[in-house]
Amino acid sequence: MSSTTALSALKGTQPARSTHTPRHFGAMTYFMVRSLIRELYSLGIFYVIYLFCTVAIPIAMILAQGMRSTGRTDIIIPSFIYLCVFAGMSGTVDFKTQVQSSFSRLQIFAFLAIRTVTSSFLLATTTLLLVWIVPFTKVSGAGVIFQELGVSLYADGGRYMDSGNLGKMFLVSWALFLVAAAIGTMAGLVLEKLGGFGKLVFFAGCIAAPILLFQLYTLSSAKDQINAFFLRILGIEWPHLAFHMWPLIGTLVVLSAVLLGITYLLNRRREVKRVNA
Amino acid sequence: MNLTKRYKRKTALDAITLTLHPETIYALLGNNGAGKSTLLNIINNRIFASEGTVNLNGQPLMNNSAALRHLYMMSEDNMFPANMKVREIFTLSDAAYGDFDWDLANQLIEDFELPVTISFKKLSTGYRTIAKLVAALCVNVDYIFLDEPVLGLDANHRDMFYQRLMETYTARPRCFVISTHLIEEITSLVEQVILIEKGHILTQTDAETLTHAGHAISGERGTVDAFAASNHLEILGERTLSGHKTLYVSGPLPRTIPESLRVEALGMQDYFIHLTQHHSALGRPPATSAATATSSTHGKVTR
Repeated sequence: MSSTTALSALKGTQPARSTHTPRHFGAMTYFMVRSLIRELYSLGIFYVIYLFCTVAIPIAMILAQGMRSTGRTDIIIPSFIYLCVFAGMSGTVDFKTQVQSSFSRLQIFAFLAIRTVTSSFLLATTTLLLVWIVPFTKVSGAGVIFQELGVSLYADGGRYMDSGNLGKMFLVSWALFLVAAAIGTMAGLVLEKLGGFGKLVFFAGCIAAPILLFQLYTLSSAKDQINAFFLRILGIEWPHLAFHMWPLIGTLVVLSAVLLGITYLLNRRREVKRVNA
Repeated sequence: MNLTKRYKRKTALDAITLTLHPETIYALLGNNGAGKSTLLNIINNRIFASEGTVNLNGQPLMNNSAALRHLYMMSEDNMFPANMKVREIFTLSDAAYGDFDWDLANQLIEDFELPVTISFKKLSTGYRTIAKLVAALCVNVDYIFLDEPVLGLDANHRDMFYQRLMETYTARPRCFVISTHLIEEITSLVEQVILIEKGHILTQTDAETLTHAGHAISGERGTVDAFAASNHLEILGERTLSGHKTLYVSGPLPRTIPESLRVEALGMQDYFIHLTQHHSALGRPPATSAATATSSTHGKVTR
């Protein structure tokens, strides 16, 4: 009997295994947990580096000088940059495995969107915890009291954070980190699509765009209207600089949604590149 | 249907139409760059066709997660994170497809002596292939696509894989599509053969037919030429050594063959070589053979 005939004879002699169990959420949960573990791991590394640079080194310098001092540092900007980088790098890590796991591009986008929300939430939570804990960390016994680690929203160092508005601060920082995660995710997908020269053009564009926009702004005859618009969407009331939280949060959420929209478009026909390990 | 894939300067697939039947083992054969991997990647939603659609039971496969759960592709491309442990790959496959055959997986792990507690990147090329093969054989899907499934495997492991493939097929018949360059090794396994060349389907026929589709006719040059001319044989190629000539022909032979001529079946691999060389020499897209047009009403995956 030829092999083909033998194979044909086997067909239908064995019962098929059970039908598919619905696993629509099983694999998604798996990837979410995996992503969360990865983020906690990288977050730990980030905080170790951050605390070393912003707390340990200043304390060491103060101890060396033998003086009593108060330190102040910012956590929003480093955290923002960290999340951009983390989201950019991890946005492409799971893609191939998700395709291998029969995910549609829409499900992959859903994963990216959920991860954008959860990673920004996690970072906002840990940032607030750090901000809340560190001021109580007093290094004494050597004439040193290190009692401030504030969160600054503005470049002028004006502090928004105090013990009375942790809730508000949490919402603002979450919205801000939402933008960071969305920027990182989108940038990761853009860079994945581009070749070497394309990446150069992309980075050059990132540097040139703000300069160009600023030039356009300086040449514009509608500076007052532009200023008013930006102050309004940032929730700043001119001229006494009163800050309103909700307009800023609204702006950041809309910006995140726009970035996620671009991510959706980039992901819609995203292809697996043939690169062997 | 009419599946086309264009890259910037190259058409990798050119309006291919093909039907794959359930519970059938196919060999997908073609030279390097013929379009085999492109075809499998499109079917499995890894890349997108420039034109055309892939359907499963009438449902489009593109980005259709429910339909894609009936397909699994194993390829030389590593689709798992390098730091993922081998057993975790199986756990993920179970989570994604459901009803993973853990008994078979454990048996295969034992047979191949596959270390499952180390990360994927620490495995040798051969063991990476084995890990991917174990996952492919144990997932509960109806269509399994194996792109270069024995890459990096030694002869013993290749033989063991072919045996296990047949055993799992016996236990649960499914559609396997095996893309490989080791044609001789899979000749005895496959039922259907799809030959692809330069983005076109050269032929699709059953393995039995293909094995006997080509012949080598050798003998004295004049006798061979006269025999070929009088019988209008389709000549794929020829080789001449002084007065001795061998013709490689396709199609059925006449019943009466002069005793002075020696006739041998080419076998699948030699037939493939001469057929593809013949079409390359002609420099034209191959015509779709009658066998390609054969489509069953039971067809499940339609391109």
